[in-house]
Amino acid sequence: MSAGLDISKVFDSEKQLFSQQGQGFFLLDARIKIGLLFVVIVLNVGVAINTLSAILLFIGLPLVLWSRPPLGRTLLFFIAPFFPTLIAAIGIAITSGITPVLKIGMITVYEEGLIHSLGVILRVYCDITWLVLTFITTPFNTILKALRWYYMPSILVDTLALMYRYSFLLYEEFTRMNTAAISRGGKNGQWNTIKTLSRITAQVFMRTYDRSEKIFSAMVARGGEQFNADK
Amino acid sequence: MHISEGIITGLPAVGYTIVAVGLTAVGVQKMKAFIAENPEKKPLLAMGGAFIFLLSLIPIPAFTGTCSHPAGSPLAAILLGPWIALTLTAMSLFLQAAFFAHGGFSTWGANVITLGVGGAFCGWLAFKAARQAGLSLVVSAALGGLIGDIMTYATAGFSLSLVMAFGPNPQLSFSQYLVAIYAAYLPTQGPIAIGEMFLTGLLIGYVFKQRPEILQELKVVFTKAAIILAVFITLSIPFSDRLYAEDSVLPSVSSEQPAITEEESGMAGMDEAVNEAMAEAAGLAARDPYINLESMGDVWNAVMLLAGAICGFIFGRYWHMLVGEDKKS
Repeated sequence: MSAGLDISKVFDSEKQLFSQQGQGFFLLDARIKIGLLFVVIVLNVGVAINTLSAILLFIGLPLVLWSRPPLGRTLLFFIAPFFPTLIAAIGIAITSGITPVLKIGMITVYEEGLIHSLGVILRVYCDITWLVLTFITTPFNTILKALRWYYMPSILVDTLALMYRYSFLLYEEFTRMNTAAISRGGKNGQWNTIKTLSRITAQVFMRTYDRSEKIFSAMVARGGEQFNADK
Repeated sequence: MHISEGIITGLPAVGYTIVAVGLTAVGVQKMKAFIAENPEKKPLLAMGGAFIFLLSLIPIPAFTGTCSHPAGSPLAAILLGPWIALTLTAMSLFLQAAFFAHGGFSTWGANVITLGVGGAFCGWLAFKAARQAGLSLVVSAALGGLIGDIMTYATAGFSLSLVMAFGPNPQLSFSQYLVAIYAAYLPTQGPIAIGEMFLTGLLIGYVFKQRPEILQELKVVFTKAAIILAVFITLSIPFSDRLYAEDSVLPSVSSEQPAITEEESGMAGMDEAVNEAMAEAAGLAARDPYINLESMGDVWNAVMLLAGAICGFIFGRYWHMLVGEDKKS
């Protein structure tokens, strides 16, 4: 699953968000988007009525098409939950229900289970559609501002901001060292791979530790040491 | 392991979210206390969160031809403590859901409990228990990684079984769902747990080898106070042994005519048995020591009392480095 999670693509799409003036949901205020997302998740998952989920999905899909978010990341959003959802749906279809509709060897598919699993698929893609509308049409720093507006604790918002800022950097460092290790034959065999990955991750952690001290010094030097636990 | 968006619905989803928000709130308080104590470490928390996020992107081989990613929360708990690891995991899950649709917002609560309680807390407890049992740092960390990973899957399986067993028209009982889900997890997640065990153990080992002061600052390994205490205990063992020997074998030390001589008791030391004998053979008779503690019972007691007071002071001064500081203090 991880092989598909290329963080550099996220970074590219974030840059696109800053450079392009989109349409549809791109023009909507982030606070409204987060509010809408919250309402949709509560209705979709909290109330959990299939008809309601279908309505929300069919409202969301045209909005996605109208807003035209970056294709690659949108596809990732729709593909990523596909296999876990499929496995869960199959599991539900064959282990719950009372009315058999299909029998394949020892496995029986039940009508109620099938309806339940279709409902699960519906809810998953309803949520995903609205996640696309919220997160792929909004730069992350705008989302953070909106979260702050919603009174999310400052320490969480600050930490999220720094996490977002440095995730890309750490990933780049890791990728660079990983490529160097591969080119030196550091990943021949599974045991070697584990050892090399541990060594690289340890290096990244040590650099992370040093970098955090430098960040603090830089913040203090710029008069930014006001961030404290009282916030 | 993330439970996908939309899988858990209705009251269970709300319940998991409420519990996760509560746990995260406690974690936020711990983070605030940590920052109040070490303001310079605030970026470290964010970097720790980014590190957990990075770990979830690292593919580790699963020995079965596939690969998956480590949970990361046991390692974070070993390095930063379980509550902070839980909060950082919660934030990391937020980023993963927002960037990759990995996990989700409706299952965020269940995932926080799975990775935070199952991964971070159980991993941390396993690490601490292994350290208490006297296992080495690397082995303890590896055990922490293994148990944390296994408990992550165990908790995830438990959550899913609960939802399915109490869902509409279940065909199996709760325990049967549990067995079925664990059996489905085992072929891939078992090897991944072993991979995480090696990754966590080796990583902590490499950091300890190259930068032990980092682990000391994060209170992962013994600090100076503990080392001083350990040195004192080690040094005091010969003295206590000697005292015990004197008390038990030579009960009348102060009497002029001891009941049993040192030679008779078989407790003669190196000085008496070898050095003094060689010195006398060379014509140099042994003289009395300048400070003869053995003949000065009260002085010896006073010295021991003073040593105890000094060590008590050192322990009292640095106790928080051994067991972690109480927030209220």
